[in-house]
Amino acid sequence: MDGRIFNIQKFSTHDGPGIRTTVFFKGCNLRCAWCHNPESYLSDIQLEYFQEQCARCGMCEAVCPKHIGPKQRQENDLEQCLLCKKCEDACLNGAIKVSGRDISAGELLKAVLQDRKYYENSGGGVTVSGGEPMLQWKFLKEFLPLVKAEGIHVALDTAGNIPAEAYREVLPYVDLILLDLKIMDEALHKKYTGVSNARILQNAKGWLEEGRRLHIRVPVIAGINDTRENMEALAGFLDGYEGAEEIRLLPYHTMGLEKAKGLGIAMETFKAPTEETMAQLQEILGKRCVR
Amino acid sequence: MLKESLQKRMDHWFDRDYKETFMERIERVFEAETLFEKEEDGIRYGHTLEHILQGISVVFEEDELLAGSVVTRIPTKEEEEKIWSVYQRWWDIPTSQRHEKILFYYSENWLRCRPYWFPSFGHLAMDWEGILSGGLEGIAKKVQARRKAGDLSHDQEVFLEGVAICIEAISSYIERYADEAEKKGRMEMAEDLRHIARKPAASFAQALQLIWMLILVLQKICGCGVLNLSRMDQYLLKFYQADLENRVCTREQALDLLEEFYFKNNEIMMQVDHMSVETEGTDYTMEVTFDDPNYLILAGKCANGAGGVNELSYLMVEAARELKLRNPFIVVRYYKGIPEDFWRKVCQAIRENTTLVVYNDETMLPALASWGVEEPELYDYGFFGCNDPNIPAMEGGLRQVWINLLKPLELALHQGDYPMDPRAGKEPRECEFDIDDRMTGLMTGAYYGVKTKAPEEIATMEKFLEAYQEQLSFLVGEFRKGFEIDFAKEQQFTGNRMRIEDCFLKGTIENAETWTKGGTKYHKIVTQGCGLASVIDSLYAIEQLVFVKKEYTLAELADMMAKDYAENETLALRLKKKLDKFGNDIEAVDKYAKVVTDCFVKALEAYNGEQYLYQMWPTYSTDRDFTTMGRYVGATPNGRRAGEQLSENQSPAEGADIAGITAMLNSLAKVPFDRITGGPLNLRLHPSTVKGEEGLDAMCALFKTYMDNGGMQVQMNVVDKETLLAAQENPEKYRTLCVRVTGYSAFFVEMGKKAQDEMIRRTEQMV
Repeated sequence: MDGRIFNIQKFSTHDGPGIRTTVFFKGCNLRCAWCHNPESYLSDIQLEYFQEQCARCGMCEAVCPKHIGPKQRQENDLEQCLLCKKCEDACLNGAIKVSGRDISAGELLKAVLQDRKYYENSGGGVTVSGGEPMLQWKFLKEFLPLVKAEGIHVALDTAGNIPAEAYREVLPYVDLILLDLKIMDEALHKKYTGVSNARILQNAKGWLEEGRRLHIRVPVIAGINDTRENMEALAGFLDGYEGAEEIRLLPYHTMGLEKAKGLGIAMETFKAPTEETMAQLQEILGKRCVR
Repeated sequence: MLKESLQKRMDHWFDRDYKETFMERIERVFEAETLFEKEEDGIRYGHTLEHILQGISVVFEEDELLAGSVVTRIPTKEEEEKIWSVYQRWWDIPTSQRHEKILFYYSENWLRCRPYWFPSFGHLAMDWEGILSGGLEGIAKKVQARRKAGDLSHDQEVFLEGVAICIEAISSYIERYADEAEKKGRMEMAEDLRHIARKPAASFAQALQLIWMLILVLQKICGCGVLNLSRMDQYLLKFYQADLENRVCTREQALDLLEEFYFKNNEIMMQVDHMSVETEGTDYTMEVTFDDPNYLILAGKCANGAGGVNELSYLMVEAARELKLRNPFIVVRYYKGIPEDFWRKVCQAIRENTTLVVYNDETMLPALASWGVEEPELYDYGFFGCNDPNIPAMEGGLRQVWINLLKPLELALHQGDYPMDPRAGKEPRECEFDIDDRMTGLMTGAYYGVKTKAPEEIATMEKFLEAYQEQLSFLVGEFRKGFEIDFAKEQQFTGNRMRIEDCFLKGTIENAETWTKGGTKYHKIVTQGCGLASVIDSLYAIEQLVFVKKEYTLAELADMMAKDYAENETLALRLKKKLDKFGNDIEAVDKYAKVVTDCFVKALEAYNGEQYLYQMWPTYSTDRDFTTMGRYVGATPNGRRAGEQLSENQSPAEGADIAGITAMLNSLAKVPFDRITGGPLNLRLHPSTVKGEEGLDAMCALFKTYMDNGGMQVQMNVVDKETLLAAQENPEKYRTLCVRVTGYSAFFVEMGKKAQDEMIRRTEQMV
């Protein structure tokens, strides 16, 4: 079977230890209001259109079997689109990008092996991320054993909202879980991500009990989860579990907005927490919180 | 921590006016022109130096740890006019006459200040180690010994006499400093100066003092700049260790001395960027020193197989990191097994934008050996600016040519024709490299090749590559032809003309022969291959369009190129933006890195050999001339329009590397660097990519892996686009922002707009 990805990012230095290649899988079952990868929401292959780049030359219209031109693109009127990608190929201004492609486990392995010497020298490896990579757990079950067989370190970047059974199939091939615990309060979690955090916390608890290695990541958004209560709840949740090796607070940034625009998704702008707040929150989380 | 007094001096230095000029030198040079006019070359040279050194002021600044400076001031309008008129008399002459005075010159600005009877090319390394261990009197003794051995021609006697005058003049000059130090009550310094005026250095401070005095004389007075200070951590180690042991000096004192030494290497330079000739400062300068980078080599393998990292290597990196100035331009020689903590310190310094670059012993040693460098001196290899290989003390100065590698591709498409205007005249040419191009080493104007097969008759990629090879070899052969003509002239007209460096090399005094006549062991022409990525991308485009997808015939493609994509502009864009490019770890494209290198090497080998004194050594380096060279190449199949720039140094085409920095480095590692003897790979990283301890870890691993994969060199700026734009906007706030340009560093705000924009456009690698 094929996996559906939207990016392979080399020299990732923020997704687990060392130099890594991060593979971004398409599709997510959360709808975080601040998402920085909104192209990962849908598992469908999608057309992105960047108006600022568009020269309105009409090349896309000329090659499109359905004659979709700049006007329709601007209005996000893409119902007719066959996703044949001819327009992306024809556009010389980088205004059209098809987000998402299918790739076999073998092909993907070849791509991540290109940097294996960098992994070896840095203690790095491969990170599967998304979107929610675990929505494609069957593919991961095929792909990750191949990576492990090469002796390469594997990190799984997940939001945790997938049935425990699926994780049980995949985790034997995972060295490190990067788990997002965005908001501890269930109601707030539901409000800003669209789902309850009950299953997430239950999965997390299970992994902590099993003594799995976890890196906890929290996107911090001013006025939403940058509170003392939220961080204290998180600290309490992790207290006593050594497997949760580190916690990282990731201040909100606006890089997702441009991409959302390209997809015709309306997205709210939030604020990043102040440095002072960040320092206070890190203080609450104690030693294992990376500064 | 940087000493406060030094920080103050640095601040003061940043405030300096670019018109500040070492007027005493110029005045004495002008006097010397007529004073010694009737003397023979070597003696005239020696007396000129003596006259200058006797007449210039001896200067002390209160807080200096090392003595040796010059007085500068802003000349009056009348003085300026007089100087310009003399410079014009010297050099505003027909090229054919220039040709009888100098074989090669870097640029008009560089040439114009140089007295024709008192010239130096610089760009080399002295026998620093020998000078420290034998002292200046050791050189005087060498002269005596050679005289005693006899069998000298008249020319040789004159040359040795010139050397003797120079050495005595320098010793006396240092003794004047000793006298002055005594008067100022600085007895310790006076003693050191008195000692090193003639004797071998006996301490770390004395060693640095002696080297500094020589740099001052060589560079600031004789114009013998762009020095390779060689492996300082090796040849200064014994002084440092002895001083520590005998409690003459502590580690901290040694660090202060090094920082003083480094700063002085900046202080005497002009506040300009020599490659931005359009800037006011560069246009104005009347000095023989520009912003010369002096290279300093650290680490690397030793001839006995051991690694060269020692306590001094650490200290020297630390000093550079604290100063963050242009000079010295530090080259760290990487080797397998380099101590990890040292490597980390090096990467940390790079991350903070210290003027420090890395070369790889694992490719450089085999490469130099393949071009004839022998052990043990092979292990002492270093570089001078810009990124040119050098065997210290065994080579004379600069001989250089930039071979435009895209030009033969154009010639291969057009059967040796150049489709652009203006065409050369109808007169048959003695050599495709005309005399002006030979003298500056740059290929400008129309070049024609040999008549290779018509495109219709080229049926395979292999056949096209054969035509490329033929055209490339032809051009290299033409350069060789021109060089030999010039060299014969140089021998005839100026072969006996000594230069200051002849006093300090290995072989010149022993053989009683200037380096120009062949006194040293090695003689090389830095042969810089330019436009590597442009050629790779063009070859891949031809392969795909003509031989794989068969969208066009080669004849159709050639025709389109001749017309600069007229009415096919979209194709140009498509080729530029849509076709895979070098720099993304795509084997189908990258395979041409080896193909092109093999062609380049083969062409050079065909025109090297025992029949020539000078041998060409290949580098991949454009310096900043990739725009100039691009102007004279018509459209090429990589989507490049006529006249557009070539790819810069070893970098992928501008904006073409889109798959991340590891992919870029993987592509580069496919170049067979074990045949290439130098050249820079410019990288620009976004600071966020390598921040924190983990970022530093990643950087250490990144460069180490590139080296282990067969990369040759990296140099880097860790600065984001926003900062560079802000610096353009508010230069006064960013005057200390020091960036790596090509083989030298510059203060960003002093660079010309064009150079600044080039740097801003460099791909910013980030995550």
